[in-house]
Amino acid sequence: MAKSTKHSEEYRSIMNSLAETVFEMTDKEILEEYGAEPPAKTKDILRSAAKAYGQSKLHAAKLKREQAIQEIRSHPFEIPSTPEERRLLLENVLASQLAKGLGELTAQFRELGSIPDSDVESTLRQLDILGVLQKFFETSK
Amino acid sequence: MAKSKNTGSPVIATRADIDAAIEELSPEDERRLERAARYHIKGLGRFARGRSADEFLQEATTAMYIGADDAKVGRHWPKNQVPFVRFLDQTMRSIASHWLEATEREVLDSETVVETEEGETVSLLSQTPHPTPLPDQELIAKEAVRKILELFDGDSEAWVILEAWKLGMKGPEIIEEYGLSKSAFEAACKRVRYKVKA
Repeated sequence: MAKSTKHSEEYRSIMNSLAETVFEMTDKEILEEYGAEPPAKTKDILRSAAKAYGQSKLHAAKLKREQAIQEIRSHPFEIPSTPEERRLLLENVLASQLAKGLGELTAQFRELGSIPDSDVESTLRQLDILGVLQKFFETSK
Repeated sequence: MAKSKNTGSPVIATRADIDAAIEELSPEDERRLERAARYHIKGLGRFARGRSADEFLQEATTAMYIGADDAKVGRHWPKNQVPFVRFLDQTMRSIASHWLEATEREVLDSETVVETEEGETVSLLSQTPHPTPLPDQELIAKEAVRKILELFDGDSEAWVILEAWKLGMKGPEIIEEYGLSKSAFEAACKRVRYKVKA
């Protein structure tokens, strides 16, 4: 037999073995041995872990979205000074060949006149981040 | 306990699979996991750092959820090969081992970090593959084991089983090595569980 040298390992080994015996018991034996005790709340405990994990994922997703929004807001780019000029720029970009790969975006802005100025500006920022504006200016020169 | 079919290559559970497995837990399996978590925490002693059995179960479950979302981290439950309760128990054991290693290294590191002539800090422990446990933890564990064995001074079967468990032997091995019948082994285990509560 192998010789264990650490008492803490021996103690842990005993406890682990006891845990193992619980899994080897039949349902009937479990009931006989622990039936008088209050019901185990394991399901609730595991559910709370599931909930906490789900919330942490949601929190991380929200954080990522906020970071992305912040990145768009703080992205430095030269923007036309008036809302009208910005709207015109967006209109021109969407009408250009460059917008071909942005089908969803062009569909969204089909009725450009009804889009608020703030959305026009943020869309221009997004297009700039994507490099579309730069290409537009280059091809428009 | 629910059985898993062992069908070829492992199929890693999704979050939905884990959700479903939790909902399908029988009252008996709930009890098994509760007791196992308590025994594991008890076995860790101070290395558990005050974590409760409930927190331990939650941590193991979270590790499984993380594994369901990411193939590189967390614990990956092969749902077609291992029953949920068994895998959760394996996860607890694995986490316990990590806690143990981390605590031993952390504490001993703080005592064995030296400064070189070049002014760099170097951990002597990092060059030691198997760190020894803390002396006071060793004394506590030694005393705990002694007290458990003392409880079974007049019960040779239980005493032998405990001695074998100390050495890491498993049930079938113990039965064979000491010529016990399965029923005698199980009855002795029951007596040990009765006196050594989780």
